[in-house]
Amino acid sequence: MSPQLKIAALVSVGRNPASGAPRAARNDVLALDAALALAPQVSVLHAGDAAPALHDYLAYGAASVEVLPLPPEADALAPLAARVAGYDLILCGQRAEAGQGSGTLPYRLAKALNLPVVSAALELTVLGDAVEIVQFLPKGQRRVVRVSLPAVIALHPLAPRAPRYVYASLRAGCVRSAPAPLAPPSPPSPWRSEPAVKKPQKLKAPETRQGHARMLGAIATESKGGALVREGAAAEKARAILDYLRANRLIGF
Amino acid sequence: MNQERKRLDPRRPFVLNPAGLRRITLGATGGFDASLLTAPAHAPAVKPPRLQGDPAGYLLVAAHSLRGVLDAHAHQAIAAAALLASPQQAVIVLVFGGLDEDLRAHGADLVAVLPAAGEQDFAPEQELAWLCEFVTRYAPAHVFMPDNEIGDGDLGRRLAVHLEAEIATHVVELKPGAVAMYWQGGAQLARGAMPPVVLLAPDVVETSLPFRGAGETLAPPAIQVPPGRYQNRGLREIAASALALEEADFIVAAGNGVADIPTLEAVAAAFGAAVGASRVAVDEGKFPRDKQIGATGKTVSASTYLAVGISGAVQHLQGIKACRHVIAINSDASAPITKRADLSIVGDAQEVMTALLAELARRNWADTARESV
Amino acid sequence: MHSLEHLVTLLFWLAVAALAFGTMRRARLWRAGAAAPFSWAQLLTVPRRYLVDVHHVVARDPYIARTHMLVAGGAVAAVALMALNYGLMLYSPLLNGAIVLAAAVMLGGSYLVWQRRRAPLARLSAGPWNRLPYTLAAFALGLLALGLLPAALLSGFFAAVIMLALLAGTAELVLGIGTGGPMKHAVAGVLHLAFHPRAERFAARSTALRPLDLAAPVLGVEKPTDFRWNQLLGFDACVQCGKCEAACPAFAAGQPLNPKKFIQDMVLGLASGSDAQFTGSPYPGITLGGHAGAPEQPILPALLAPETLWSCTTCRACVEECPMQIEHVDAIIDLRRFQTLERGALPGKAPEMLGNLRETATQGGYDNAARYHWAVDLNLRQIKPGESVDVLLVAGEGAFDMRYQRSLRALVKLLQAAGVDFAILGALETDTGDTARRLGDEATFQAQATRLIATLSSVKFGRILTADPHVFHSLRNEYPALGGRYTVLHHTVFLAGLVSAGQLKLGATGETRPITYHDPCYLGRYNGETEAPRALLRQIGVNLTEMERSGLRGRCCGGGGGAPLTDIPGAQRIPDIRIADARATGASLVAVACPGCTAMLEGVVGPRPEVIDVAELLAAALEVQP
Repeated sequence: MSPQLKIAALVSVGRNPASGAPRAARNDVLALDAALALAPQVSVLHAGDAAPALHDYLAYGAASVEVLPLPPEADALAPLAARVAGYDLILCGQRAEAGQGSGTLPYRLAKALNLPVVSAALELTVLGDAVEIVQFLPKGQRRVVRVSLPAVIALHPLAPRAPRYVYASLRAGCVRSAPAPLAPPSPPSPWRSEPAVKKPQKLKAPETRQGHARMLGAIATESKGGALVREGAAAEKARAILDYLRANRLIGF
Repeated sequence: MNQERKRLDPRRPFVLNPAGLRRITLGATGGFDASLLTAPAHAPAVKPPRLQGDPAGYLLVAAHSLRGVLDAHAHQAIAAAALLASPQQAVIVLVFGGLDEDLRAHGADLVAVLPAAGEQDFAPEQELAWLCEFVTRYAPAHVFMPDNEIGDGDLGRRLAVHLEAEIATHVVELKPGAVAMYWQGGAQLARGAMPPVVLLAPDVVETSLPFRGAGETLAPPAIQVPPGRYQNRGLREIAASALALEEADFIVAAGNGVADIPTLEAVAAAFGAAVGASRVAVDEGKFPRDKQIGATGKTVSASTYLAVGISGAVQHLQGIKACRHVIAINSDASAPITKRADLSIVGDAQEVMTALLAELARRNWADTARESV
Repeated sequence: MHSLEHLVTLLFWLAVAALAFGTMRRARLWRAGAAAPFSWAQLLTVPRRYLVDVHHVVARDPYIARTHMLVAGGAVAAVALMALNYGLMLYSPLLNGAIVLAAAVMLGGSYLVWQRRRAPLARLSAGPWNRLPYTLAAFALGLLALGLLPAALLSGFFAAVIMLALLAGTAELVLGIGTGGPMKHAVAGVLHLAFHPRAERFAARSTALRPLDLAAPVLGVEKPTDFRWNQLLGFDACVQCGKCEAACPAFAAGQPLNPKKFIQDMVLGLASGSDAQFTGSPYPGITLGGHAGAPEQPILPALLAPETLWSCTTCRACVEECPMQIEHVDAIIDLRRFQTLERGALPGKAPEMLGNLRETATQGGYDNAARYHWAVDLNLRQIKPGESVDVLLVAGEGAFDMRYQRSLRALVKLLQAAGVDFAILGALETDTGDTARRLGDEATFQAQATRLIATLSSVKFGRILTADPHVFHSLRNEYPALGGRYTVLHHTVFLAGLVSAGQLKLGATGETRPITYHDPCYLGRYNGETEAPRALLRQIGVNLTEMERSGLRGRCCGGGGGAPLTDIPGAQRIPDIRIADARATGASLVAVACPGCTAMLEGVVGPRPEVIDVAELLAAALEVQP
């Protein structure tokens, strides 16, 4: 841990999946927690409104949260990039819970500041002027990557950290807001959003079967949910399992 | 009028035909033919080509391969491009890593392979340069990539940011010229015109195609960039047994019906699977609490879930809702798990596990023997 | 002769001085604690509290009640008479006769103590406590000799022996308080009764936690001196009788908690020391000698392992059993408050549950709108702000549990049969925050309570009815301190009222299997409601048998205090023990009256009695009615 390290944690307002209630975004909490493990002083920044949910970050250990006010729908990139220029490490969650959640902000920020960016970070260690990152890969694989500081690092949601919610530290901290909007409103979004009630449709080839075949397909019992192997010796049953696994390419032998 | 009536057995033996229909042959003893469970990947009849004449434009698909094959998610990206392409647009597939499979059936017209891209190396600058070279050379209308965690999600975002192009990520619905994706953590569905870079969520495309791709080989991009700001420091593999259950792709789970834990662990080890347990097995002290799967334990999303001696209480089934393939070994054919399982083996758990271990040992030996020939 | 009497006088006054000095020394330790109201007049409450409240508990064990009456009564009488006769130098033979009588009583008691300690129960402490019959007998024998032996014999060798015996006995009696010996309990116990931290309990059953000032400089108790001084005094009153240990469900299940050891550890904290000298049962799974504390040192983890703190189910069985009226659970909650609010250090799934409460106002992280899915086809009236109703049904978290929905639907059926004017809160209902409070998260509790109180103020109702004893307890006993004053009824009490008013007519049940009733802690011990459910069961004519631990002394199911969330491992599970209790009665059915108990007891695997809510049994009896 080097004391002179300047670390920023970028935090957003998350959203509880069941109630939709605003909260500290879980992934950003991991970023904050990782930042606090590296340095006692961390600049915790939020671009947007000074929402009450930001107080949760105080409970998770931020001494204060600095709000960079934004007009609604405005792009957070410019004010954030201006604010974190000169920092050694900029940490954030990989994907926001609320808003678009496209997971592109760390990349855009890194481009604006001309810094390296590493995503899917599980653990980070600062080694002199470099940072070593254990990166998440599926199926139990981990990749170790080293980049020189300064860098932008996005934390993976499975980062093995156990942030603690401490009411006393929520009580002690404060959310500060810069006075005036710092960014001009951005052009209107090309996206139209609607409440997600209908299941999205799968893209598939147009139906070319004849009527009879289509009807047979529609009335056939779905084959999933129940091949039952009752008879036979244990070895046969074992082979049935292996055949199933192979048939569905679930094992590689 | 006390006639003996023959009753129909609703669970009468059947076989599945290639179209997934049940076929009941009277008098047949039934059984299970696994080969019939697979989707007909290569139908014998040759499908017509999709591309008509010389290509007048391109769609680009880029994906990382693993051990010489692309995964289902990447196949879906290729199929998406093929389904959306006009008859004059060719689908180019750029594979990072080696490729031993034929992508024609998936709709690839031109395939460029970059075996030089170490399959699991982190070289975003080099990969971005290659990808940009193709984008410049072919000017594809759209670039499709699977939004995954093996490098494509990362590379796709880098590409969009580099090109300062509009991007759609975690795309859940594709239509000609339009995409939709979830916002607000799934509460909102955002729709818009298809941007230049499209990152697909898994399972949003049906991969069975009525046509085939041309499948021609294309020279891969050749540009070389000097070693950049990212240094690889190697891979680490976490032993399956130490892997968090939430992350595991193959889980062998034990319930009340498993007395012999070492055998179960041996089965898990043979499959490279993580070990889980039902609440009852945990309560009995056979497993630590962090192995518990279910409503009060962990929610898992493994591709394969082998439930041994688990009856399948509602709470347990809640925890395995997201598992793709569930196989159950249970002594009771009427246990609730058999309704959830894709394959149920009725029998003594211990016997089946032992047989499974023997079978696995035999197969490994057979594989080794074949390789040494 | 003269010289011996004067010697006794001298000994008496020396003893008084030693007692005064020792008490002052000990009082310094207590006074290091936080402030609490104090008035000397509180000493006047002692006789009543001793003779009524303490006796009420002690009398459950007639042997020890008799023993203590003889020993303590004899000793107090003898010492008082000695104060007169020797202290004031009257040397009256008549008074001496009285002293002999008192000493004889005391000697008889000492014999009983000796008998008890020959084959001590596992819950008793050994060590210094084992010498008590001898030192007490020595004191009594000395007094007897002094009063009975002819003057001629009271010289020289005999005098020396008598003086030694008296000295030994007196030392035990008066030095205990200063040195922390067994007889400390006499002084600390009397003062504890006078300055009890929960004085309300002597007026009526008092189980509500007191609200924590969320603006206080330190939230909860970190070190011994953060306890209020009268709590520290209370710890010192412990006689290590182990009644709490025998009653504790966590201890029985082999979880690392023993309420007796816990109180003794708090004593170690206030007086500085290590637990190597402890002579009782250790916390299961934790060896003695590894923990030590001091007044200004954090209690966790040096003095107390976190697993111990989080094993408690807050069932109050220890408090119910404690003859010294010590408040174990209050101390546990005070410690939890610090761990939760100042450290955020909760084990298991507890942090997740608290996050759910803050974000969804449900413990399980459900969509709050789903809270009344169980009633969607029942056409119940959902109250809207501004409307009024007689009975407001509050379902609690059990409403999300498919099993408990059956009980709720049975209750609704009964209410409809009785023609009760009732409504549900519908999606307006939010969690009471009760579980958060037991886990020490007072901030979340108060936020939830404020929210629910605001909801309840927006509608008009006569009474609140709930089937969840935890909801019942918090609304009835704990919300008043936060400004929510309601008439709250548990469904068993409400239904019993309907039956006795003739509004609800029940037939005989078709149930002939033997039934036992499991008292939920938050209904029985916390609220004293043990009769209504039994009356209802008798009403429908079931074959009711009682478990050994029932009523106010019932055993916890293991579901209280957030214990299923903190999930501290033990040798077995508490619900398994409780089902074994039920099985021992030969019952085929366990009647319950709490969603928590239902879930815990139904979670027991293997052949076990069926678990069924009282409301379900009654609803079935409604059906067989012509």
